[in-house]
Amino acid sequence: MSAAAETTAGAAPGVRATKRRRRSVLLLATPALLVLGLALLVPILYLLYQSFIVGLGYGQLQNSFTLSNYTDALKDPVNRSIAIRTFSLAALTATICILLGYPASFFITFRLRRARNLALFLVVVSLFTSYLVRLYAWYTVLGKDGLINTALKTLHLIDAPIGFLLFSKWAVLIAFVNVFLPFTILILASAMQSIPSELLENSRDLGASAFQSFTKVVLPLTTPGLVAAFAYTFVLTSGDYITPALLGGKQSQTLASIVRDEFVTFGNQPAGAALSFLMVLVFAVVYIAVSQTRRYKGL
Amino acid sequence: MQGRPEAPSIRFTRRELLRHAGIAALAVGGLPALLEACSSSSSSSSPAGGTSGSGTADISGTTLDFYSWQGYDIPVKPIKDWLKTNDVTMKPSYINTHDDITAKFTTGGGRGNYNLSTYEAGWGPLYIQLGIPSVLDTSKVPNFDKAYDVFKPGGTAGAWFNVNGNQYAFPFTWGVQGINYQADAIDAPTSYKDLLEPAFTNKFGITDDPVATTVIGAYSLGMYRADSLYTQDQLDQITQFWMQMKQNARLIIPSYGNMGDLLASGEIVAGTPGWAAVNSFAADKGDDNVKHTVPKEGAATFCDAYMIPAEAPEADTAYAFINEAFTPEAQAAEATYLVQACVVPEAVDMLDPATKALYPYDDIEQLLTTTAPLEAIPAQVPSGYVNYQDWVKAWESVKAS
Amino acid sequence: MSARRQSWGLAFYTAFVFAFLFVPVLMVVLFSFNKTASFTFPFHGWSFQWYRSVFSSPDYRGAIWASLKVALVTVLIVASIGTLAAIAVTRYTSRGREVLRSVFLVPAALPGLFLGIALLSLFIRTKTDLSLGTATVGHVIYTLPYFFLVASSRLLRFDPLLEESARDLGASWWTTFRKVTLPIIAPALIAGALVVFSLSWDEVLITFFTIGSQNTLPLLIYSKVKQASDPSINAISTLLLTGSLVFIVGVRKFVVDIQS
Repeated sequence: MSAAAETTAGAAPGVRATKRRRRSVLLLATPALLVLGLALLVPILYLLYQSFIVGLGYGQLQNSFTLSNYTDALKDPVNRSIAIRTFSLAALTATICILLGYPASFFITFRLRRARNLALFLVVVSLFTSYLVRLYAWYTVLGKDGLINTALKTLHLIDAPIGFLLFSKWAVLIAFVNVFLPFTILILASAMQSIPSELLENSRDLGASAFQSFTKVVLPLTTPGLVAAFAYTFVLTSGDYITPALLGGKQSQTLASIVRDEFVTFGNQPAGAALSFLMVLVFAVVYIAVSQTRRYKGL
Repeated sequence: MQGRPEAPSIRFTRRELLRHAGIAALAVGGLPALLEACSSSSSSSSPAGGTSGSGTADISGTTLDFYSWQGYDIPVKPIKDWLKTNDVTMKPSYINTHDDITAKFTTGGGRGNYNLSTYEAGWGPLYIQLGIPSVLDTSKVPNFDKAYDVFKPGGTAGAWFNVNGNQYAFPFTWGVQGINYQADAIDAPTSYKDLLEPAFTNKFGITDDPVATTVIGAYSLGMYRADSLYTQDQLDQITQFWMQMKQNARLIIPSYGNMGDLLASGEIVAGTPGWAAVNSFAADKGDDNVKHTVPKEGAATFCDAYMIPAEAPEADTAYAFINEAFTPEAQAAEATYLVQACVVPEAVDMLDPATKALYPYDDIEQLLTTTAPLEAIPAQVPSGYVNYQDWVKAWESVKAS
Repeated sequence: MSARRQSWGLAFYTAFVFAFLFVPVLMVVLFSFNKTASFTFPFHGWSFQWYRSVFSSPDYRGAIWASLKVALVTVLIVASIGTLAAIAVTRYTSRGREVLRSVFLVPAALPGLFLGIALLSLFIRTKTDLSLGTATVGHVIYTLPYFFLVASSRLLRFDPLLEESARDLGASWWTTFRKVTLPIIAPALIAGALVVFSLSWDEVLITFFTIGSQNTLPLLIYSKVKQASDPSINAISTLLLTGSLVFIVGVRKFVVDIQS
């Protein structure tokens, strides 16, 4: 929008000045670029380099080129089964967050006026309790003497406590959704807020039903938000090894735990580095795949 | 110029130093520089980097940066009093598995940041190889002389900590790892294989501890070896055993402390590998009925020792603490708190009968030599046998199954 | 279905979603007052003992102080470089803008584990001592995208003609920024700073790998949660929750006051 404003409003004598201003504005980004370069790019490049050398364990490295870190990681059957488990849980979490969050975001954006900011504020507030403490609180909710079982017992709906709620992939799923649903709602609400309300009104005026307005106007315009919410949840869920360790029961290992073990338990940075880059590759693929929905312009 | 004086030429070097320092001082006009040159040239080179003099160094105001198991910082009265009297702050960071110590002092940036840690006997060879513990000055821990002979250099357990005449750590506690259980709910299991029964389906937990599980697995399958040398085939059998156990279990428990919570809250009725201290953890949560038992196949025996990591700052504080930990009062209090065995005979006499009965103090020599030799991890093994990394990889495949 | 009924349906649904979001928070607050160390029902009665143990524990005090130091330094660094970066990207009118924008958002696309191990590897290689400072580096990288998002989204909505007019009237770039841009975007910058602060305050994965022997509050809680913990972690969380709420409401009032 501001690009259009500048080019149409820019008169001939100001063009050179504008170009100069453009470039000098770019200079403002240098500090941030420097920080990112030194503290992000360099470490990642070094990690990449490490993934191609030999690791002898306990932090000892051998400076010879090898592809074995990658091939071993790909060949290991344990890695493969854990990877499938990790990524399917991540995809499931992201999908559920979107399915649960979309209607809520819709309601907050389009049906609330004065209460809208308060509602969004409340969503943010739910994130103000430490993530770890909230994790531990699931013992209180899902445990044998937890909130759900105690409530069901008091209502005489069950005799024996339900065991599979805790220490199972359901517990992990519930905990993940609880953490990422607020982010999803915020991302989707932000995407919905940028839809000019005239568009919706016009579509109604032109005779479209509520459902059609939704599928032809709201949904296509919010696909960037959907993509962002899905990608964000998918990536961060895949990288979390704490929640499965505490709530996963027998399914306590994820790909992230294996990466962590390579680094901490085995002291084999090259193997850990290779596995992390393979994960990043999967993230990139998933992101590209999900972004294809942006082409969706309506039914 | 400011190097450590070599023994034969101390005088010469010192004179050189003073001469250079004197000229420099004159040049800069600094008396402080001259004084500094004098004092730095008279510093001795004690192995652990502290100044000489046993226990008379000024440690008040210093901090003990401690990195090890929860409980090994011994938060009991004699130690707490000592910390207060000497104005020393205990700053503990707790580990979940022994590997955390290895990681911290190799790749984890812990070198130079901690002055007190521990390691278990079996890890000694690997740690010494990796240069993790510093060589200790036994004259700074005179109270160690009060320990049973079996823990001193030359004794069966002591040999793990004293290699080639160098003392790398001071063993201060030992114990056995069997099964913890909720006495309210069940009777003590008599065999590890009891846990495979339907009665235990979804009711017990397995601690995430690759050393203890491998050792207990070996005991259960009747193939335990004190030198920890197993073939790949034997390791595969142990892996199979644990996969079967895991099928019947409720969860993999992240830590021993967590096990106390889970037993107290009733989420599980048993947990293995166990640790007697778990009884105390559960008692803290209000459940006094969690107990520990040694099944008939045997229990993994461990012996932990205080070490001062290499490049530790303020080693004197660590020495003073260790010395205090070997007083009979501290040993007795610690044995009661951790529900583990202590190493000083005078302390054993101070224990109340119930605690004393937990461990066979009358025949420690026999126990640690024959009946339940200390568990070890295979660091460098002859070909044909699996090493510790293979143990952990096997355990990872159990966790992933 | 009439729009009315649809709205009521959606309203109830949203209420349930909120209830789900707050269930753990409510449990945390409730059990912070538990008389025993138990985390499960039945609730044993009301007591302040866990709050007392938080205040009297040197571990907690040290960790809170460390977290505070790291968070404040992170906010200062990120707010300054982030604001400049956001201005650069929103004012830089060329196709390169999208690329630049993506660059600043990259750290949000990487899991904390990855960032943590990358930084640790570099620190080990360069033989840098781990400390609160190295942990802060991780926090800066991790929180920069979020601040950038908040700041740049506000700047995008900001009409550049306001700046243009000020400059046409003869004001220098700096004066324009100080008297026109800054006051208008200040609330967004403050919001961004609050986001950075709370993200840094809760960060555990990167910190785990990049910190020295100190503990930040999340690390202390993490070690407690993995071992035998007690409701003191609930107490400290409730305190922080209340503190943040009070702080934010206060800041909002302050911002509204200076804007009017």
